[in-house]
Amino acid sequence: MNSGRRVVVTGMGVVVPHGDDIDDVYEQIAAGKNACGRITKFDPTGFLCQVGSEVKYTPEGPREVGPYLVEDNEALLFTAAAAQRALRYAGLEAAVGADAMDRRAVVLSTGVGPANIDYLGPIAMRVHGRDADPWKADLASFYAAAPSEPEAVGLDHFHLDTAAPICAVQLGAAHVYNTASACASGSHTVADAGNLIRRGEADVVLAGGICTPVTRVLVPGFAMLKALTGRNDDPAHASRPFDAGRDGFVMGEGAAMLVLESEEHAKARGATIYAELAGWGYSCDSYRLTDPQPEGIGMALCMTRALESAGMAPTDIDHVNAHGTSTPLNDAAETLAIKKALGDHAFRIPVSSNKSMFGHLIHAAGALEGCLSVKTILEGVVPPTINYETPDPRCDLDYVPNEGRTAKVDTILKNSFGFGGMNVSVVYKRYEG
Amino acid sequence: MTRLFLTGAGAVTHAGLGLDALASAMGGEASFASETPIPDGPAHAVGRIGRLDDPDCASSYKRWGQLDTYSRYGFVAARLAMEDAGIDADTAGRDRIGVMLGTAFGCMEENQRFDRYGVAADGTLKGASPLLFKGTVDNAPAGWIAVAWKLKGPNATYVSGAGSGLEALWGAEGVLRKNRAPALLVGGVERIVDLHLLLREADPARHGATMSEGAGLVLVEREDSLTRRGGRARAELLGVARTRGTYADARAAALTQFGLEPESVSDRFHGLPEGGLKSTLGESHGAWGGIALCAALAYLNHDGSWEGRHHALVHAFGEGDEHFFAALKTVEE
Repeated sequence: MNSGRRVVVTGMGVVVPHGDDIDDVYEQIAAGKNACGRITKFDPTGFLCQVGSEVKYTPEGPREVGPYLVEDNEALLFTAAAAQRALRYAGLEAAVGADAMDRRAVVLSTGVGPANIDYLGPIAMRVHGRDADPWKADLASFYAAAPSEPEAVGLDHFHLDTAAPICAVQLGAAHVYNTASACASGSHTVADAGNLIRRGEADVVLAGGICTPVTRVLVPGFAMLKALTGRNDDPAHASRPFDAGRDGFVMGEGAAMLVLESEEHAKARGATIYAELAGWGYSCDSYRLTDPQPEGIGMALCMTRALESAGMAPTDIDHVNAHGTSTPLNDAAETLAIKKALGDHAFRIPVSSNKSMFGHLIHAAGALEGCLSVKTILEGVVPPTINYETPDPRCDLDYVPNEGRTAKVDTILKNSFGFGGMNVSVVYKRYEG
Repeated sequence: MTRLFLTGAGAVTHAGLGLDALASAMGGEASFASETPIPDGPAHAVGRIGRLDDPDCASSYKRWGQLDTYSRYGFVAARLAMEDAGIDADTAGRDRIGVMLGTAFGCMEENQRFDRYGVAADGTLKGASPLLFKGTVDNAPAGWIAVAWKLKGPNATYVSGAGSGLEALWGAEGVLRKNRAPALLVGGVERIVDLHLLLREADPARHGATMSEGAGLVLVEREDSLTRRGGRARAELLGVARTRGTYADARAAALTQFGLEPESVSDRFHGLPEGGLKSTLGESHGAWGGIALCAALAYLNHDGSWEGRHHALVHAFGEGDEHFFAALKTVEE
């Protein structure tokens, strides 16, 4: 039961395949517009999966943030731009002074993003010239050349958690950390932010995720695990959560962030409050590393814990924003889990998957879908699950097939599940002061 | 407020497995290896473990062969910590235990490995095993540990540079104090790849200590759980403080939070690059906090106190000018 401070949402910022304005993105999502297509970032000819959901524009935003150069790294560029938009939405400036900064925090998930593989490309290009193909570059010579110009080639930024410090500069935050919970990460950051505020350890938290996994290594890698769609001849219809013909998810990219505040802090500065973060729950399947527990036991547990944290009964939920990846295993297990957690009420409410329109943004997914949940509460249109054609007997809930639905939605249960058996559920609620 | 105790510890370092090996490393008995990450390049001293084969894990866990090296470090440290705490399959409530780990570089090796395999014309990764692709997520060690021991409690991985291990302990303290789990496996894991050695070469002043890899995990347990199962406490965890400023200022602020007098506390387990344990244990980045906690327990095993003191501060650098301090206290018999 919630016994701490109330946590509210005062800002949202995204850089995602549909665009970089959350209000416009929501309109497209509510209208069921698809953003998935054939991959263009590399030539996917012959690949098992050739479908992706890409950010095909360069977002306006800072190219340098404090000591950090972000312009040569797409993930960091997305990070800085999404954070900038979230802070503008919230009407927040960077805090100045140790005391003010001490009350602000950044909780981010970067995972498969600014470090690891994505870093090699920009660094290799700096070493070998902009025309170099980083994937064909002679890595031995790259390694040999790199130490002579450590800062020039970006090794000084070679770290998993660069994105979070960038956001910390933008917010003026003293406390910074990253969570890594695979596909559950985005909602994990939101839940952790809720903990920090509810416990009184922060007044303002920028939470969210970044992911740029549409690469020549990760796409075939996930395809090897049979996690991705093989519907290469029909990319617009490849992401089809809960449909009987689903065969895997579409890899997506982007960044999404929410500004979360204590209610009193938001009120004191006259901020617009868009929704309340009412509760959250975590659980771990401890089943297999890359498969969900097929009966949805862990998933149901985290939904139940989220309801307890919010002080709500299952019947208080108006809509489930599903994890809904479009993999055969996830969607069936999630359906079972929703029924376990909500009982008969599960059959009476809309359950939809935003991923049907933009695929799976991995570490950013939970935060983007969190932003869309807030917009759903504000605008009153439940986004559809598009590409839903053939019912699957194992998926027997109301998935809002193909067309958005006007409805008064006061509370949304948002699910996110990930590799490692990580499960996080979050409850967003209409704010009533 | 419930009391928290460290009831088990497991360390995987270049000196070997367990607290005794860690103690020998602290005594300077384990030497660092030399490597040349670049062909014909300069040699680097490094606390390397390499591919870890643990017969106990291999015989008891059928998926051991699927674990990447980064995950193996954490997995073996978890086995040692669970055994040290006396927790086995019959321990009541074991399934409520969780895992909270820290890492700075995470699964870099597996990502780099897949990068180097290259993509074949047919879009497959040449010679790459789908099983090892599982190791390309940073939370793979925490996931494997939870799967193998059926630990359904809270599970999280913190990725925050050298402070990650103690940041995980900071997160764990909150979970345990709110009684969301009876106990948590907590610590840090790190695996070095050649890029890390290049980083050090690129800027030796920034990473003054020899780079090392490994894992250190402790089982942190609520007093009620410990009492219920009749376990043994190695030390009490008074708390974890996040403070800012210079090391001296941050330490003073942490001591104030803990209500401790400076002279009553051992500082041996600090995370400064020179003049401390890192000269013998190396700079293990995200694993440091966990390994330092294990080092404090290893020291306590040997001497019964920390340089005659009953309190110890375990320290790690966080982001910017942030510091993490864990305060430990000896326990009465």
